[in-house]
Amino acid sequence: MKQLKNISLVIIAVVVIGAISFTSFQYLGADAAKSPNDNLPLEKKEQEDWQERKMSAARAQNEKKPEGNPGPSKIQIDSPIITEILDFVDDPLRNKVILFTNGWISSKENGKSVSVGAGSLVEDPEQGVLLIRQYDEKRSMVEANIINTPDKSGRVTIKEFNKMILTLVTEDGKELIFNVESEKFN
Amino acid sequence: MTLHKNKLILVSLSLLLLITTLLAFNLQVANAAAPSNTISYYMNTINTTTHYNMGYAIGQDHLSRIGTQSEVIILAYGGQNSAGTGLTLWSQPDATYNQVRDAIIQVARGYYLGTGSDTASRLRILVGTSNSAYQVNYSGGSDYAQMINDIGSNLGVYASQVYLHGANDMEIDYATATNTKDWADGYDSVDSYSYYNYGDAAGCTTSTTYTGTTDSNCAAAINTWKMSDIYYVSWQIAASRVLPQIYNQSMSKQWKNLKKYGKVSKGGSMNISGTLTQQGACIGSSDPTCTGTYSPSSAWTDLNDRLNADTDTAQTLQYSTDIRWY
Repeated sequence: MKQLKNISLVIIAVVVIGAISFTSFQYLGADAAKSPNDNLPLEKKEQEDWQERKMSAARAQNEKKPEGNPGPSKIQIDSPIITEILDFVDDPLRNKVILFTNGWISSKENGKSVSVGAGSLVEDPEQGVLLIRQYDEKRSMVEANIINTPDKSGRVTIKEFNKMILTLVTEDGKELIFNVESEKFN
Repeated sequence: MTLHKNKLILVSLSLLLLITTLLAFNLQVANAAAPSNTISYYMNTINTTTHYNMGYAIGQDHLSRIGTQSEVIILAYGGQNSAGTGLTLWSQPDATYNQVRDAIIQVARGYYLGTGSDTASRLRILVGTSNSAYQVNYSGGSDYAQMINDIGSNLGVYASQVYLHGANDMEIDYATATNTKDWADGYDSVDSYSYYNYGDAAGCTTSTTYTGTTDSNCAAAINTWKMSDIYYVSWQIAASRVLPQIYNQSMSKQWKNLKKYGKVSKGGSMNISGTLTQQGACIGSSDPTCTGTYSPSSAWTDLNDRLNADTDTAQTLQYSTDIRWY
């Protein structure tokens, strides 16, 4: 009888502990699923909460969405490309892969365009390099190539252009001719 | 004797159950599955039809999925231009702040309309610049925040499903810590919407035994920042949030250590909102940094597991996004 009582106590205790653990597990899991804003410092939380209120206010307008796909409410197109030498090259590879000196951009047939960034490699400053990016008529970047100068004569700079032919100058004053269409040095 | 034995069994079973529960919970967090990633873009255009269609496509995607979606995208327009009037659009003709505003509004419109009957899903739009070009100073930050405020003021009903933020690709080798912190201060002075730092921590320690007590140098190829500088522009300043580049294991270690530094040295619990990868930008690219670049799921999993292996840095990582050229 006493043994039965003890076994019952054990079973009850295990069930209770199990229930507590399961509930804690759920609570902890639920805690992780709470709004990510809840654990933010006060200033950041206030900013996020403000946007939430703005969202609620916009929703409260109860505006019915138009059916179908009505398109943009404003038409805005890109500025035309002027073929020119660029004093500054802004590119994600800047200072990570290439130390740019200057660049060049030109429109091409059918609304396409091409840009060239000149400079040298970050990892090997003696190696002159060109970054060629090709864009389609929607300004979508469709191709990119990094092309080394034939010799390691330091960084290159674009001196002048004649249609799609670029005259480059290396660090030691040597001139190179580059054909943008063929992406080759003459 | 029997009573004693039963008590022993009871205590052992209870402990076993408790340990199993705790282990199971930790495993759940540490082995969480990476969320599906969104596509972010380097933008060369301010064409509003392009932007509308982008937003609409995301909205339609969210509509087609089960449940409420909440995702983030970064639209990166290049650094601020020399004239202080807008963004470089990389090598394309500069865009004015008003043009970027109008383009973003159309992304929001497209998303709002594309979600159709799904009025619960959300898109978080991060309007991106970088500290790579000009205006990396107080007034540049202030101007940028003003543009974001202007966008927000003109979202109207689209704000019911769109969160708006500024964003800056703050990289160590793009600009000095002083200039970048000035930009952040300028942004913070007038902002209504926070900005996300989606940059790097190049040169920061990758040690797996870093204790968080040292404000180490982060010496990259050109510039050197302190960990405290990166922490400042990523979390310490009120306007800042962070969704860093996790292109490889080193970057994952660096950002884990930065969070550790923040916790131990600054008493702050920096929340890393997610991971940014560049797999899309690397397709067909001869960029040498693309070798071995992380996939979105690998980046998220690496950082998630790394953060949650340390009680000082444990957290839930919310987002995953991968950037490519538009």
